[in-house]
Amino acid sequence: MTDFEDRDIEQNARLFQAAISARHIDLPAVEVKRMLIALDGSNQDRAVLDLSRAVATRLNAEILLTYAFEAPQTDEKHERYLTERLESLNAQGFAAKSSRAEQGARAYRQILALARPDDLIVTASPFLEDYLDLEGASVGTTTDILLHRRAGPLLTVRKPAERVRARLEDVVLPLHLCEEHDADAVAWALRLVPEDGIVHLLAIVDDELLAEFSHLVGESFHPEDMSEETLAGLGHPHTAGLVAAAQRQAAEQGIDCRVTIRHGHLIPAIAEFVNEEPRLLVIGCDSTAAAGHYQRAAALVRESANPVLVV
Amino acid sequence: MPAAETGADPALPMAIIGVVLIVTFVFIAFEKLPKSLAALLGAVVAVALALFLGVYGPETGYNAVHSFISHDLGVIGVIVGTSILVEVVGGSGLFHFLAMRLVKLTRGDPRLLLPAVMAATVAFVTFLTIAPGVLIMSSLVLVITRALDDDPVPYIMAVAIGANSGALMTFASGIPTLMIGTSANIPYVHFLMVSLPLALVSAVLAFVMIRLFYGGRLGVGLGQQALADRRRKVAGFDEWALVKDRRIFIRCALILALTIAGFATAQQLGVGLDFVAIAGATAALLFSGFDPGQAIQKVKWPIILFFVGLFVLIGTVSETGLIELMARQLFAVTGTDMMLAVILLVPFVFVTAAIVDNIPVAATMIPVVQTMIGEGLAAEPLWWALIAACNLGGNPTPVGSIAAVIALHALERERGIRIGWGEYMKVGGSIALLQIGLVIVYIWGFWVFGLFPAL
Repeated sequence: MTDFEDRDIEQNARLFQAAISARHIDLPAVEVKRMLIALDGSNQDRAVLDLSRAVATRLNAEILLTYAFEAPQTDEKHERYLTERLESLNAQGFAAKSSRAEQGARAYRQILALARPDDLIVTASPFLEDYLDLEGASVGTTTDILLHRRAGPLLTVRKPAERVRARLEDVVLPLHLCEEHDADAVAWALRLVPEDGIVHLLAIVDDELLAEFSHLVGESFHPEDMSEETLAGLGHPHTAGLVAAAQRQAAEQGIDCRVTIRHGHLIPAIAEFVNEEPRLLVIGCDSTAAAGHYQRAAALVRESANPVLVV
Repeated sequence: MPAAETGADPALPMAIIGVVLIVTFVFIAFEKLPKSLAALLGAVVAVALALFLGVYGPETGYNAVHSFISHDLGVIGVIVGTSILVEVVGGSGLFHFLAMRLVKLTRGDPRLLLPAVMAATVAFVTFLTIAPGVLIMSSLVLVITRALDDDPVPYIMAVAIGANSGALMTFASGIPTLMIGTSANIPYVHFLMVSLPLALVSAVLAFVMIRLFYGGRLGVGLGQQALADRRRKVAGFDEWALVKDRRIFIRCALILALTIAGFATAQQLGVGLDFVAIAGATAALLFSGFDPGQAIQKVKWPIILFFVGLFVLIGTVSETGLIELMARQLFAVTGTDMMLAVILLVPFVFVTAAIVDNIPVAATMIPVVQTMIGEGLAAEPLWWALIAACNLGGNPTPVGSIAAVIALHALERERGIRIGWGEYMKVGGSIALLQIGLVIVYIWGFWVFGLFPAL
């Protein structure tokens, strides 16, 4: 009489083992005094401003507004553009100022010249459709370079937002992308999501990779006998500790925090999940271009139709 | 043509189908076949023989078989509903979280760990039923004893034996309890008044005995430094790593609480427990996001088929008059002496449940007790004695209850430690002997002081 199977015992044991070996992770405090919002006069500026307002409200941050037009000299129309948006922000109660960097310099130089190390930079990123000829090889030079040269967090907005506030209500945080910055990403996600929001801790089971591994290892490895949690790496001490830290803090804040497991190749699977709904993707990575996690972050910025926060 | 009308000897069908019953029980006890298959085979053979020998009455004929099953459809409904509910609630991580939290509360103190394990086992089995409760607790025990470098054997024994007390706590905590409670029409709240206190006392008794047997292996005489090391290790366990979805976690807890409340008030609401169980399962699937296909797969279909086979087999045996004969023989010894009946019934059920399986024992003894009640013995002491003995009767041997089977298998699989029949029977058998006495005294006390709520 099958009241139980060996797999049931193993699964339960692995769950408890994860809890016992979970690494203790302290989530850093997220404090942002200022957001540097870089407009470029495109039809994405509205989305950038809408999202920035929501973020600034959550962070209680000041705003420094700039534009990154690569025109060699000052244009009255551009100045008026910036002033109007500044006035609108101030009228809505935000502590906003404006500034411009060196005329004629490349957009990214202008932005980086104004940015302090602890600023949150918010910028538009071109539509994917604008770069089809490059087969998505670039997200746009400004975003590429900012991703590489930034000293602080970067928020890129890809498309005009229909429900911008919604993007703070539903945040996706992929696990296993960058161990060194995972805790930062979790801290940011929990800082930005309002009380009735949800954070998805997304774990991907790469079935093809497992099949290859199984082939290499031989008969001793049977992924079909293992639980999804095990295959998704949730038993790893760092991941278990991250989940524990996130769940504990989410419980204190009254936020819904959910471990979601999906199957597929890492980047496409994350992008597919992120793009299902209006969501915010939060990724932890440093700016070392050669590093694998940087490449993964860049790929996700490229593939995500929703805003991406890189911390 | 029925045997009576042909003038055939009525003892013949009794003997033949009685043999089928015994052979089926032997197959179940020694696991020559999977239990569900053994029960179904026994049922098929018994029905075929019964039809051939004209056992079923002329009015009912083969329809008697349907009536055997339909009497216990409620039990099947409860099993289906609770299986799904337990799968969803268990999958939410709620009980794993609570179990780890309880371990952390002990701060690794060996004096507190064993009672905590025992208490958690009883509680989890109460709400989750035996198999899921024991799976969780035995896995927890094996993992934490490895982390703390403790001997897992005392804790596994506490899980195996404590679980049988847990199965006694409420109507739906154990399958024999469910079967007997349904047949006897015992309201849910009566369990809180009668069997819950007995369950707690039997658990405490078991704990004391396990502590006596294994005291030297619990590490209770550790020095301050060792205790401090254990505290530090246990403080590092993080139960929040077990939470996958907090919202579902909370919803599952709420649905479980409502289902239990539903069980307690089903009679007043005018619905059966099966309705409450199915409603709870439906709510769990609706609000948890759990995959219904996966949950339904986890329904204990082998147990349900086991039941169906047993009901048909026992029903057929009953039609031969064998059960009635057994009951009359018993009654001939006890007369209307209630306590003598209890004194004979309890050890008999303990011994047979230890050997065979408490579910077929319950299935067989239900009609026996019904007949004895028909002869004039009071219902309450007999039913409660049967409930207690069927559940606690799993304690003497390592095959007497599914709790021991799971716990010992987990120990051997995960840690390579095997508890043999000798060691198990020394501990479990001693506890069972004391529990036989406890049950008899308990039933006597309730009977003498008029404490049984009337059925």
